[in-house]
Order: sequence, then C-alpha cells, then structure tokens
Amino acid sequence: MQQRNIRNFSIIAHIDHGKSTLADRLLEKTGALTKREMTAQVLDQMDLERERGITIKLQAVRLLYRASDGEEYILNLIDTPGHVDFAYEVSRSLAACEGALLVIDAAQGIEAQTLANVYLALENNLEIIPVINKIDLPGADVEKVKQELEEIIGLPGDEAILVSAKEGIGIEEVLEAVVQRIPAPVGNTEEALRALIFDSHYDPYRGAIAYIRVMEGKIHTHQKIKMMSHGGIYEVTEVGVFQPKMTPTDSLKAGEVGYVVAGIKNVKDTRVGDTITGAERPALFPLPGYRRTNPMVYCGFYPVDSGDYTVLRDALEKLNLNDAALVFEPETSEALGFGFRCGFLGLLHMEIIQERLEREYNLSLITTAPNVVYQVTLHNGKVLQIDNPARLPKTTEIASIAEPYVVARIIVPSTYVGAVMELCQDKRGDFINMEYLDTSRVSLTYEMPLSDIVFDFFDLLKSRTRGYASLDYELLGYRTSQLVKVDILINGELVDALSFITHNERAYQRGRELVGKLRELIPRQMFEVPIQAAIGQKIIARETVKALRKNVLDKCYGGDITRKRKLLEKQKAGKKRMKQVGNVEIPQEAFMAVLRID
Amino acid sequence: MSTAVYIHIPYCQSKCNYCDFLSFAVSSCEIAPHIYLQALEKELALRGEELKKAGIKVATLYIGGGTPTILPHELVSQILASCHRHLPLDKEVEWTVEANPSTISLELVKLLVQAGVNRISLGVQDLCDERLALLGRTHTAAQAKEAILMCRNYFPVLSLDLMTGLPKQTTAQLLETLAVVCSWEPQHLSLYGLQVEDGTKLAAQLAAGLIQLPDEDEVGEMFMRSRKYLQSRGYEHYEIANFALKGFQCRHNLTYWQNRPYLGLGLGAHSYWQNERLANTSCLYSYVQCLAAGQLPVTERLVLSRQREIEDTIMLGLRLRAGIKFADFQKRFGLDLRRLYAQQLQCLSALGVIQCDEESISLTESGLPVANLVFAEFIA
Repeated sequence: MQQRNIRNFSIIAHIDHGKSTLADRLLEKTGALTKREMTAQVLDQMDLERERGITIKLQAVRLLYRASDGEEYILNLIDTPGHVDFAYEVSRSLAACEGALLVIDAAQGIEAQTLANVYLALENNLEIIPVINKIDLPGADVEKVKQELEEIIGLPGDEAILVSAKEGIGIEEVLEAVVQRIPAPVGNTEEALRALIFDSHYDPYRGAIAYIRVMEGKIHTHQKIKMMSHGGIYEVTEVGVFQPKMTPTDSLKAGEVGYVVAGIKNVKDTRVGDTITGAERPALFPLPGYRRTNPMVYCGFYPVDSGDYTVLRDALEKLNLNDAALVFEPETSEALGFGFRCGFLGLLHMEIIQERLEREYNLSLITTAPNVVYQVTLHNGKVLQIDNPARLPKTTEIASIAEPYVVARIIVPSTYVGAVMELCQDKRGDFINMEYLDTSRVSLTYEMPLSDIVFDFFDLLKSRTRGYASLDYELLGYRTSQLVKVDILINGELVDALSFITHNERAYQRGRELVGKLRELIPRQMFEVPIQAAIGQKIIARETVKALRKNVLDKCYGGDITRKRKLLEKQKAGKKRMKQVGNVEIPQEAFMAVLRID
Repeated sequence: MSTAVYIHIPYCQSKCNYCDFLSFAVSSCEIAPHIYLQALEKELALRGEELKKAGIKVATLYIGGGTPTILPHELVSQILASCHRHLPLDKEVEWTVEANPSTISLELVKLLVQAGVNRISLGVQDLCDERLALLGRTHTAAQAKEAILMCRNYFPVLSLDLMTGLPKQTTAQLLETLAVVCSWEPQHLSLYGLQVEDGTKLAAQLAAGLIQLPDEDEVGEMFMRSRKYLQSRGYEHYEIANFALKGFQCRHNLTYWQNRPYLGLGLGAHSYWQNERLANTSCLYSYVQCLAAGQLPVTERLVLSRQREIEDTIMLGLRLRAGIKFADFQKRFGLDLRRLYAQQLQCLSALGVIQCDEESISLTESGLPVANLVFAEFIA
C-alpha cells in the first residue's frame, strides 16, 4: 500500500483513563478481531497486566480501515506502557508514530501523566488528537476537560472527540480523525535502510524478534542487516506485520510498521531505540534518541530454599531473554547466602519480575528492600557505583556520597496542596514551582531524591489526597547528600541484607522505626532476641523480641500420636519458610520491612 | 508382658465449645449407645482374645470419651462387665474412668468401685460458674465440689482436669482455684492450656470477637506460676501437663510418653501395636458394620520406620520431666542418643532449653514453654 494510506499512531493517557479499552474498540471496529476472539483488553497480553489493568509490555497492531472517503487505510496502532517506570519505552514508541490519541477521562480531567505524555508527544512532533473518554459516566464534565485542554495544553477544546470506549460511542469518529488529521508517514523508500526498534520479544524458536518502524528504505527477507548501536550483523529470515498475530510479508517499506526475525539470540541485541540499517548499504547516522536504559532500582533476590539457587538463575535468564531492562548478577549475602542482585527500571518493574518468578517458576523468594544506585567518591579520588548498601565502603574511606535526584510534577486539587507540600518536604523535596492549572487544580514541582520517591511516595501521595493526586517524574542527575549507612543487628549479628542508606538527619528515626517493625515481624523464638540499629559502631535503636512463652501441645488426644506429630511437622514446615540467620528464624517479609516505614 | 488399653465412649450430654474430640451429644446421635456398646463388646472380644493368646496382661485400662458416665447406669455396668469378660486384666491394673462432675452420683460411684475401677478422672476445668457456662460445660463449681468430695472417699486415686488460658481468666484467679482444688487433696492433677481448634464453637466466638483470650505472656505466666504453686503443695511436675503426689503418676499415660504399645478400642481410637500406628474408623455406622461382620474397624495403618520410631520416642519422652535415659534408648534402639543427635543436643543445650547429664536428657524449666520447638528439632 502507498505511504499516503498509512497512519502510524499511539494512544497516550494517564493510567486508568481508558486507553486499553479504546484500543480494544478500535480492533473490534476494524475487524482485526471478532468479538469472540477478544478477551477484554487484548493488547494487555500478560496475565499480570490484565490483573493490574496496566500495560507493561507494549504491543503493536495493524488495522485495516475503509474510511468515509472510500479508500482503504492501514492504521498501525502502537500501544505504550502506562507507567512512569517505562518512560523511555514510551518515548521510543512515540518516535515510531506521526500522531497520537490523547485520551482524557471526562471525570478526572488532565493528570500528571497526561501532561508528561503530551510533552513526549510534542518532542516527537506528533499530531495530537484529544479524545475525551468515559463521557457516559455520571461525573463526566466534558466542558471542563475542553477548557483544561485549551488552558493547560493549548489544544483547541472543540476538536476533541467525545467517546465512551466502554459503550462503543464515538469509535468511528476516532478512526476518521486518525485518517484525516494524522499525517501519512514520509520517508524515501530508496534511501539506505533506517528502522527504529520500539520493542522486541523473545521467541524460543526464532530468537529475539524486533518490532520496528521503517523510517527510510526497506527491509526484506535474506537481507543482511546491522544494529547500529553495537554493530551486530544478522540475516533477515522473516519480516511481517501484526494483524494482530504476526503475519509474514515480503518486505517492509519506509512508513510501515512490523517485525523482523533474523536469528538474533538475545533481546539485548534488539535494544529499544536502536536503529536497524542494511549491512551492505549502511546509513551514515542512526536515528536520534537512542540511549541505553540503566536500572534505577536494585534489590537482592534470594531463594528461601538455598537449593533453588540454580532454578532462580535459570528463571532470571529466561525472563531476561524477553526483558533487556532487567539486569542481574550473582551476589552473596552473609545472612541470606547465594542470590542475585537485580536491577530494574522502577519499583513496578521489580514487583512484576518478583511476581513472575514466584508464579511462573514457583520460587519462594526473599526480596531485600530496593535501593537506588549511589555514587561514592573515595578520598583517593576513585568513584564507585554502589547498588547494594552492604557494599558501601568504610566511612573513613568515603569523601562524599551522591544520590540520584528527580524532578517530580504533581497535579492535585487545590484543597490538598498543603498535604502534598508536607509530604514532599518529608521526602526531602526542594520546592521549585507551584502553578494553578485552573481555579481548583494545582501543579506542584519538586526536586527530590529518587530513593524517597521510588518506594512508598506514590502510595502516600494517593492516600493523603484521597487518590486525587497524580505524579510524574524524570531523572535530573546525581547530587551529593549527607548519607549514612544504617546496619541492623539481630541477636548481635549484623544482617547485611537489612542494611540501608539514608539521610543523616533521618537515620535515627528510620533506624528506630525499622527495629520496631522487625520486632513485630520476627516471631518469638526459644530465646530472647535483641534487634539493634547501628551507624558504624554506634547503636542508635534497640528492641527485643521476647522468648516464646507458650508453645506446648498439652493434650493427649486419646493416644493420637500421629496428630501430635503432624502439628510438629507443620511447625517445622513454617520454619522452613523462614531464613535462619545465626540462631534466629527471620520471615521473608522482614527483609522488606524497611519499605514499610516512613 | 503387659500393655495399656484405652476404650473410647463417644457420647456427651452436649458438646463443649472448645472440644474437637470425637464425641456426640447423646440426644442427637443417630446410633443409640446400646448399639454402639454391642459393637464395642465385639471389638473387646477380638482384641481380648489376641491378648490372651499372646499372654499379654492389661496393666492399665482407661475408659474415656466423650463422657462415659453420661450413659445410663446399666450401660456403664455393661461396659465394665465386658472389660472383665474379655480383657486379661492384671491383678494390679490401674483402671481409670473419665467423668463429668454433673454425672456423679453415689450409685454410680459404688458401681464403678465394685467393678474394680480404682482411679477417677473428673473434668473440673475451672471453679468459676460464669466461665464454665461460657465454655459450654454442663456442670457448676458446686457440683464439682460435691462430686470430688464423694469420689475421694471411694476411689484410691482422684485425678482432676483443670484448664488455663481461659477467657477472662487471670493468673490470680487460677492460683486461687488451685488453692481450693489442692485443699480437696487429689492425688493427680492435669493442667491443660485451652487450645483453639478449627471448627469449634470457640473458634467461631473468637473470630466474631465475642470472647477474648489472655495473651501468650499471660498464659505462659499462668502455667509457670501454677507449676510453682503445685510443686510447693507437694505435687511433682512429671509431664508437661501433669502433676502427681509421689507414687501417683498416671501409669496409663506414661505408656504413651514412653512410646510403648497400647491398644485403643472404640470409635476413632488409636493404637500403637506391633510397630504400627492404627486408627479405628471415625464413622459410627462403619464402626458398627465392621464389627457386625466380625472385622476390626481399623481404617488407618501406618507402619513405623525405625527413624520414625526413634523420633516419636524422643518427641514423647521429652515431655516427661525425667526425660529420656540414654541407657533405655540404647537398649531399645542399640544407638547412642548423644551421638545420633550430637548437633541438636549441643545447640539446644547452649540455648538452655535442654539439659544433659550422665544418664539422661530432659527439658529445662526454660525449655518448657518452647517444648514444641525443641521437639521439632528432632524431627527429620
């Protein structure tokens, strides 16, 4: 098909504003799937995504649409992940498009992620079509949203399409707008090949499959291609399009969206944002915008049963095949034995991996509290990247420690401004700006340490604003802070997996709180167990888990010894789910306790 | 050669709120007691024959339940007669019958004593009427006192069951109860901590927040204080939950703790016989049918491995305050317990929960409250 009959677009929205439902309706309307084939929200394919109602792994689909002008169009819908952890992935899929549907909940209005996505779309010069969704809801206020569109984003409010994806209202109008308002792709098919990788997945039989948008030139089977970021050369064995199942075609030309199979062993070699070019006639420059994604958050995964170490390693390797953003390397903890230190894009990414390991690989894991990467400058001038608090060098060797900072934008009804400001201050935020979006809503900008925002900030923000606040943030860079390491000693033994790094001023309080939390979490044992927090040699907090007072089977059960024994076996099994550190049995949750303190 | 026999009578006036034993309210049970007793008699005949053939005497006989004494006196007599008819009772047999204080009458007491019952175990539980009612007990403190005073004149051994950790119970109240109980001079006392078992009324009441139980520390305190008090009154603490004046330890229960063989007869009863753990059916119909067909009603049968036998011996033996004698263990298994569990013994001794001397290993005082954790260490 000719370029002028192709439209490449994304749907961008704040979480829960109905992006996936709208995508489903578009698929249904264009007959890409029959109703029977549709489970709710087809594009969110992983179980976890469906359960959480969010898109993690982005997907693409090709829709065939006969427009009111009588012509047939190919509409390539590129779905984007709906979480701030995956901001880079979002930006790359937007780069593969010429336009975007900006979905706004008619009742909620513009939220922080709406804005963040709009900025990304504008950076990529996309034509934005505002879609006001959920107009059927009792709380819908279309006029207010139109006003917000004009005042906050600067888009004409009356150009917005009114939709209820759930009820199927306005879907035809959306498709027409995609055809009429979004420009057709340009790009010379005779030029040297340049194709943008916006996603990839791993197929056990065919290797890594790259999802691409061809910007210039064409790509066909048997062609030798080259990845411009690392120079790897491969021979294309198949190209095709998503209908939404992968369907082979002879070639993909400039403007088209599809996939490439080329015997690539690993998704690490099909990095999002990379440019594919021809090996025989390479382009001079890659497409702009590629960067390696670096993990923002690290934590340790340890099998509860140390015999599961190899199962865990194999599982991580398998997940890594499909998730280049996940990094991991073997690590040993004195308390927990052999495990892995794993790096993630954010906390959600971490939770997803953890859940998949436990569900899909049936592993029982101890997850240590997540932390950011610290930059430690030593007196001898050496700079270390520390992704595990236990590895922090001695205080005497350290000249300074720097931690990652972000700029956070929070949009909140004005009644909650005070509460949010207080929270941001608690989290060491530096106030940058406050702006009234309209009479009732405020946008607050703070610069904050990532370590404070990445853990429970979002939950706290939601609870202090009754769910009304929305948040978006992006990395600023590293800043020196007065940071110290707090160690935890249980029964006199340092438990390395519980050490954490925090700001000097908050060390005492956090130490006390953690020790208190641990006292609740660690079950009473045969003996009294002291729990202490220490900075260096100095003890800053202490609690005691008293010895058990009653753990006796009294009754005789008329000689039913088997029953007695079963109770003991149950007790023993309960013990096995805990980790023995020294003489003390510590339950899995204890290692995440640091997350549950403010 | 001698052994222990337990006979289960699964009838009660009504089910107590905390009880998950195999028992039924006699009024609502579809199989009448006399039918059950016919079947029981057949089981007694089968097992009695076996004992006689093997030349094994019954050294201890324990009739428990349920509440055996809830049955009409002629049926109680029938059980006692069946025992005499079929079981090769030792001359010195320790013969216990469990009873609820509300069922005690002079007539019953005489009937039991004349048949040779020489030990009565009364379920007193508490002396607070409000709490007794809360537990669903069918007797009052006054009835308990009356029954005790009557029984102690007729039975050579009087044993009383008491409970700790009851709703609203305090340590002070418990000590007061013990003082009163001691004044009645029972030879034997069992002190059971209330346990909340799934599916009981008590569990439901707790879940619904209708009652509160004292916390773990309070219950632990109750036990340790009670222990101390009873010791001061001359009772030897000889097993985790049991106290006795010198020479009045319950020989029947010692059989369990020493992991020696016993036969359990009646509905759902358990046996440890010829190195197997056996359980009778818990279904009244099957029980009656089986025996009508001349079959033993055993539905569960577990052959014990040697390892399992060793573990059971330790888990049970450590319940006795005297513990386990190395020589006994060596004699039974041909193994040195100290060597077999060297690592556990060292670790547990270091924690101060067990003590080892030249002859034996036993729980220490601080090991008592954590007995289960200690036992679990010996289970593979």
